[in-house]
Formats: sequence, C-alpha cells, structure tokens
Amino acid sequence: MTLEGCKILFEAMRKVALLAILLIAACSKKETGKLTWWQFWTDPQTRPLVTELVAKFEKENPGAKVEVTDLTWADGHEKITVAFSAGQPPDVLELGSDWIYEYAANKLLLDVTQKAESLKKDLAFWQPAMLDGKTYALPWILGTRLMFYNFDLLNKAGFYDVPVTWDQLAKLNKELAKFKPKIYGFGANASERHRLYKKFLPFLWSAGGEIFSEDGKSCALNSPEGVQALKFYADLCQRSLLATQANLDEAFLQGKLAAVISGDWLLKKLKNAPPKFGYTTALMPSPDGQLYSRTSFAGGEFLAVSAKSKQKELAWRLVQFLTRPDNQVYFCRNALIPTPASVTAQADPFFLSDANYKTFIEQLQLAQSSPPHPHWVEIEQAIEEAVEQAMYKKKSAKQALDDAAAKINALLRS
Amino acid sequence: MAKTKAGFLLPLPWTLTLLVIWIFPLLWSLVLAFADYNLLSGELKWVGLENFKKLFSDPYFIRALKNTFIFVIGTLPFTTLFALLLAMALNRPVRGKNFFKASFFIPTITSLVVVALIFTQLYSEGSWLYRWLGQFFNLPSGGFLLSEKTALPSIMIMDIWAAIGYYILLFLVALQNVPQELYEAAKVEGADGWQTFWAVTFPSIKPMLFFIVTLNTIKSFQVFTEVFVMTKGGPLGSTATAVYFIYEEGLFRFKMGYASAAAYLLFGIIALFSYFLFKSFKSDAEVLTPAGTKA
Repeated sequence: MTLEGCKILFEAMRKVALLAILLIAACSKKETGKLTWWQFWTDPQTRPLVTELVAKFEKENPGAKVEVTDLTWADGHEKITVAFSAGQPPDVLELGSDWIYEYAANKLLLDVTQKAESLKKDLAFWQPAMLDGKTYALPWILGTRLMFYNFDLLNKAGFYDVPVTWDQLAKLNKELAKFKPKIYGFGANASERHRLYKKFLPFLWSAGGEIFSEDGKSCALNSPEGVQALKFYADLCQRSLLATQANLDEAFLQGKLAAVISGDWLLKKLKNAPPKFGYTTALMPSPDGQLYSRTSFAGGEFLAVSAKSKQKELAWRLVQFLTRPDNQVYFCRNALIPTPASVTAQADPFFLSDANYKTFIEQLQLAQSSPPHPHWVEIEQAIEEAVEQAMYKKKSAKQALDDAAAKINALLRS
Repeated sequence: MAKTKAGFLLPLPWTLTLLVIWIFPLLWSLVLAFADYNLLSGELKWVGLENFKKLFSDPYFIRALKNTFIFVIGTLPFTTLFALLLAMALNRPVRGKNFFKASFFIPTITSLVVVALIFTQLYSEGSWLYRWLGQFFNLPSGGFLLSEKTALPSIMIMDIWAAIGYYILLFLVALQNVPQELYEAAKVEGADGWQTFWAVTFPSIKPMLFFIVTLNTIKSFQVFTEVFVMTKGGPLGSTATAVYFIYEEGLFRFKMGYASAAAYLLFGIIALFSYFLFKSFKSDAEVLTPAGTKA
C-alpha cells in the first residue's frame, strides 16, 4: 500500500469515527427538558391560549421544551388507555374527572399527595382526584351544569322571576305547552349515554337522595327521595322537548326553549353572539327551593403526571404552572370559562363583575360529582337505564329504581 | 433461486403489515376470548369458556343480537329487490340513463359517516320530514331517532338507500351479460315479460344474486357506523347492534376478553349464515358460469 493510499484510508476511518462519536453524543445527549403533554382544548378560540401558556412555561424554565398533543373527547379516553397499555404514556395528562380513578387504581399515575399539600388551600374539588387517601391529580378547570332561562318566554308564561322550586319549573313547562307554533318550557336529554345520568343526579341530590348508602355497601337509589326525584323528572320530560344536548342548546339559542340545563359552553355561545331575547343563568331548582338543596353535577379537567414519566420533576412543574392562579385567570378569562379550580382565580374581578359567571361559581360550590367506584361504568349504565325506562314510561319510577338498585347491589357484592 | 428470493422479498412489506396488523391481532383476540384481560394493568387471567357462557345470559348481548337480526332481515330483501328492479329499469334504453346511474351511485361513494350525519338532521325534530310524517302519524316530540319504535327502522331505511347503488351496479353487470339470443329465443317461443324474467333473466343472474346476498348479509351483520354516529345504541337500547355491543364492551369498558368472545361468536354466526346461503344457491350456481350461459 502506498503512503497516499494509507492517508486516504486513515482519513476515511477518522471520518467514520467522528461520525460515530457524533451519533453517540446525539443519542446520549441528556434530553432534560423535553416533556410531552396530552390535552383536550382544541377549539379555535382556546387552542392558542394553550400555546401561549406553554411558551410562557418554556421561558420560565430555560431548557424545557413541551410537546403538546391534542385529543378530542370522542376518542381521548381510548387513546390514553391504549398509550398506558403500551407503556408509552405522555409525561403530563389532562384527564376528565371521572377517569382518574381507574388510572390511579392501576398505579399508572404519580402519587402527588405530598407535593399537592401546599396547593390544597387554593385549588377546590379534590374528591375525584383522591383514592384511598392519596392524591393523584390536580384540579384545573372545573365545570358545572345549571339552568339557562329565556326571559321573554318566562314572561309569556306569566313568570316574572326564574323558577326556584320543582313545582314552578313544572308549571312553566305546562304553561308554555299551550302555545303555537310550538315552544317548550323545558328541554331534556333523550337517551344520550354518559350524559343522561349527569342530568338526573342533580334532581336525585336535590331531593335528598343518594346513589350509595352511607356505609357505601349498598345502593340507596330506590329510597323514597330517589323515587320522588325520578318520578318528577320523568313527568317533567313528558311535556318537554326531548333532544340531544347539542340540539337542546340550539333550540335555546333560537328562542324556542324557555329553560335548559347546560354548561359554560352555552354561556360562551350566548356571549359570542348575543341573542335577541333576554337570558339569565340560575341555580338548579329543588323541591323546596332552599339554597342548600339546589345541588348540581360538577366535573372538570384535572392534570396528572404519569407514573412512568422520566421527567417527573419537570412534569410536576408544568402541572403546578398551569394550575397557578394567574395562569388560570388568564386562561379562563380568554376562553370564557367561569369556573377555574383555583379559589384565588375565582375571586378575580373579571368573574365577580358578571352575574352569570357568579352564578356558575355559586353553583359549583353547591355541586357534587359522581362517587368514584371501580364498577362506575356499570353503575352509570344501570342509572341511565332506570331514567330511560321511566322517561319512556316502560316502568314506574319505583320499579325502575328497584331494578337498578338490585343490579347495583349485585355489583357491589361481587 | 435468486428469482424465488425476490419473489418472497418483494411482497415482504405487504406481508409484514398483514402479519403485524391483521393476523396477529386476529389470533391474539382469539386467545383473549378465553381470558379476562385488563388493558390497564396488563393482567391476563384464563377463564376458559366463561366469557361465552356469560354472553348467552347477558340481556344486553341478546338484545344486540336481536336488533342485528331485525336489521339484517329488514334490510337485505329490500335492498336486493329494489336494486334488482332499478337495475332492470336501467338496463333498457332510458333517457338520461347515465344521470340516473350516477345519482343512484352517489350515496354509495359518499362516506357513511356523512350520510349518517345528513340523515340525523333529516330525522330530527325540526326537519320537514318529521313535521310532515310526525303530524300525520301523531308521533311524540324528539324526532325519529329518539323514539324507541322508530329509531331502528329509520336507520334501516337510510341503510337501504345508501347501500342500493352498489348492488344496482353489480346487477347491471350481470344483466348486461345475459346473451341477447336467449331473449330472442324467448320472444320466438311467445313468452311474455314475466315468463322471460323467470326463464331467462333470473337463472342468468343467479350467480350474481348469490354474490350480492352473501356480501350484503355479511355487511349487514356488521352494522356499526350508522349506530355509532346516529344513536349510540339508544333509545332504550333499541338500536344497539352486535358490533356496537362489542365496541362498548371493548373500547369503552375495556373488557377486552369479553368483547373478543362476542366478536368470535358473531364471526361464527356470520360464517354459519354464509354456509347456508352457499348451500342453498350451490346446486344451481354450479352449472352456471357467471356469464349466465349453461356450461
């Protein structure tokens, strides 16, 4: 081999070695700052806020890089479950309040009991995030359902104030049924799975009923209070507009519906495009109209860190950052959501200066969520079935609830 | 030798995909059908035939099967009959034939999700159809899809409308392959229209008829998209079909073993039906070539 040849060979070897070193360096380069976050805010008004918050976080934490993935409510639950099952979950997850239990029970979420201690005062609504006394997620943006009323239609029915008791709501429904072309007093959800129970539970709670007995060992649905609630709800539905939630909201916006149970999304629509009629929000009615009994359903979005995350510290910092009062105020103000989980944020003048926002926060304080339970999906199905059967007059309220209670009791024993 | 190697190598990307995302899950779900599998914890517990036993006593599954049978029996004959009639109408010189052909075929090439969304509007309370028919039959408020009695039939009618175009096309192919001489011979023999249909047309298109009925049976047993988009199984479970049941158990409750068992049971039912269809058609189909002439 000539010297020239040796030189070329040497040069080539050096290059290969350099390349290899570069490659190794690239692979082992400590990616301290990279985080993945799966979240659900996809509508065009809200999504840019997520981007802004992430940019702010990256600025506050030099070297951090957050990769955001958007999910939809239609298939997000499936995708998260599959990701956990495949052992490739993201570092930070936004979770619906009723999903936390199953993931926590399978030890997939980071136990943040100690870390969250200092935040317990500021954030409200911890019940869905707890399992066996431990905390697995932080409440972030909450949501509750309350009554929306159309003032013009209320006046038409001879009402000069919003209904406070069940009897008044029933009367409103009856009065408006007479008019032609058709308008409705109340709009009820028809057979929408995973929605129907959220509409019935406020009535159950307002009447003083519960799903489980106090010791949690049996089903209390078929108590006299429960039967009273379902009987009232089923009777109310007879004259009501039966439709899906989307169509009910639409009917309300078109001024064909005097009262509907809905959430912050409807208020957002009303604020974005003010209707011709006067509207207001109000607390849920109850049998006696007393404040303490005007209960509603609450849920919300929670933030959790996956137990498998390699970036637990940084992930926790992101979760903490997002639930910080100033960031919650910024997010909720611009997304027109009146119910941040932070109590400090709730007291922001922006929310207090608007009567409807105030009602939301007031209702949230009176609201409950479905009790966490390993058999919840089946229990939910049994409740919805009972409500449907009473609504469609297949069974009496008592019979429907007795059957549901028998089913749930069998689940509790298994 | 090199040629053989290339022969194995070239379809490799396709074969691998087939194995990984088709065959493997298929076999894995057969394994799961005999197990209790928790997707989240990864726990797998053998339960033998327990899943299948449970299915037969599960009122939701029985109801889903019942709804599926109603769907199959309620759509299959109509889809086939209407498709045949329309194909025969199109098989003669009609003015604007291509226009009709295209308009019958458009629902078929439209995504079923889109069709289902359009019909959801059409069937809802505010639509002209509901105002018109609802007043006539005195139906309760809420639209067709929110009443237990009308929800499933409404989906079935939509399905017939949406599926018919494809079968018209298949029937047309068969009809155009019937030799003209046979018709001429029938004419010479003095056969009237009805006799010509039974003696010439029907035997000639029988293989295609078999194909269409089998295909449509299998497709109808697997009805899912319409239900998922339009009713999610409601109201009162009146539109919950077998595949929808499998979806709910598997992808909503994550009971993978139970859902797999249901899926294999449905597979068995479909296989059984196809077998009987095959048997009942076979005796004639054997002696006929698809072109319709006697071999």
